[in-house]
Amino acid sequence: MRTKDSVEIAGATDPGIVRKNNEDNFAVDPDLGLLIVADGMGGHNSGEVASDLAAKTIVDFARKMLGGDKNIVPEGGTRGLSVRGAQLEYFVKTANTMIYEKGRAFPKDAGMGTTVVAAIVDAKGLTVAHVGDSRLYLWRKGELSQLTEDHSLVGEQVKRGQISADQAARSNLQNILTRALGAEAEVVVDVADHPLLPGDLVLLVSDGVNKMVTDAEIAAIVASEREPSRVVDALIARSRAGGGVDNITVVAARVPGGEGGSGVGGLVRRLLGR
Amino acid sequence: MPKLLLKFNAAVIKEIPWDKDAITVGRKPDNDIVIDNPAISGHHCKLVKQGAGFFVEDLESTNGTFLNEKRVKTSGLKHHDVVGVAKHALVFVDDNPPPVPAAEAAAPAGDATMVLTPQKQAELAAASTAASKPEGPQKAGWLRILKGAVDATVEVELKGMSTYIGKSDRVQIQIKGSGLFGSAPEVAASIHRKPEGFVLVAVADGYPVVNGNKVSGSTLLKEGDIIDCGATTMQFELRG
Repeated sequence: MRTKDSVEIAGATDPGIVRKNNEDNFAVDPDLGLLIVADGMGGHNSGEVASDLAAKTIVDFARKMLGGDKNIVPEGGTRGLSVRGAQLEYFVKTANTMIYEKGRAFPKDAGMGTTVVAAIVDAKGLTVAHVGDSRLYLWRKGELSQLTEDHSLVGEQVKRGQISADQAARSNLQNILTRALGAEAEVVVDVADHPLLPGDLVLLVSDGVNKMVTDAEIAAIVASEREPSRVVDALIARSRAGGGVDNITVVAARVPGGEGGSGVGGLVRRLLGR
Repeated sequence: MPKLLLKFNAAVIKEIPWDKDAITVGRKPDNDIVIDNPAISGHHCKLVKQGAGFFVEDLESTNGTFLNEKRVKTSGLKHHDVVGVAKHALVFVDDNPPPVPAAEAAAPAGDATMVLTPQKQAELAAASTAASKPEGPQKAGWLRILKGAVDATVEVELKGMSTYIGKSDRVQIQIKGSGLFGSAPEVAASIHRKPEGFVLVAVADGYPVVNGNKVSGSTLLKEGDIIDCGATTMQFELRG
């Protein structure tokens, strides 16, 4: 799939090896450049319900407000955000309200919740909004950086410098979130804008990936595969091989260009490519 | 004093201090906590304090007493356990939980993900900051634009995880180019907030200059560092 300005996008989800049900959901909309990964939680099947509702609500509202030539800017919201940031924050907050109210209305869904990481990408930049511990990574020139901060207990401890990232990766408290959609009537959404350069790869993952695969391994996989769909498949396969104890979801988007750079191969490919 | 939060669905309706050895719960008015709901038995369950331990005991109620969604006859209570009676829930809040095991106990059985309540977060934050005094909160990073500002902005707080510097109108800190045509990279550099401090990454290798040295890759910023990008000069400051 491609967006209007040729950003190639792909996504897939896999229940993993241990769990029978898949509480993760993802959505991609090439027309809007919208990418979403949500990792649900809650008894019975309500984890799926929550993550599905999050993905659907965000896509729905994005199509209503950004589809075609529309560009509706919501009122209110956090001050100082870019237009796209304000829109994305609004979509995520709306999803929170939907999940929270559904949890209250149906006893079987009480207490359900979900993480969400949603991004709007084009060839020049990305806007990301997230709640919970699903992550957005940016791979640029061989280097992988995590652009979201996990809203988890260990994430907060790392941020305060109380434990190292290594200790966090081994902690048995990894599954405790400090923020989630559907937990409270109001939610604080982290929103950020990042510019993109040719050749960049944007990666959205649920914790079934980053618990099983180290950042270094992720970087190696991204470096070895050009096509986003291949990156997605390779990361899912690697997460399963690493144990697959949780549901695995990956969405990837590659900004066109930048391949090979000055290399002869890159030049030839550019001449023949398009 | 430990306490109980009486909840109906998600809303807390009442806060009850645990001020005696046994607290009875039921529909009849002689209970300590009266819940007037037909699904609740006359004498539904009892919450007992024995020595330093806390327990819940079902009094042969018709619809059962649940601890964290499992039906129980009697069971011990930990900080933040949820006692379910019909559609109501009593959340046990131990204001003096055993220090480290409290965090361990928070790890649920199995690997189910859970969300921490804001209240508990505050407790944990208080506990953990007390435990690690030397750390202190990270200071806020600021960039003061000394020369070559694009607009009226003179100071920018490095609030987000990443702040970008470049000519593009999509970055937080815009710069002026240098040379004959005033060209500059769309994105020249970025500054990332990391546990070790603020790290400047050269997006355009060799373009940003810190204290007179061209930066390729990344460098950790120190208080007072002078950053040159094209015709714009900035100074890094720590405040807070």
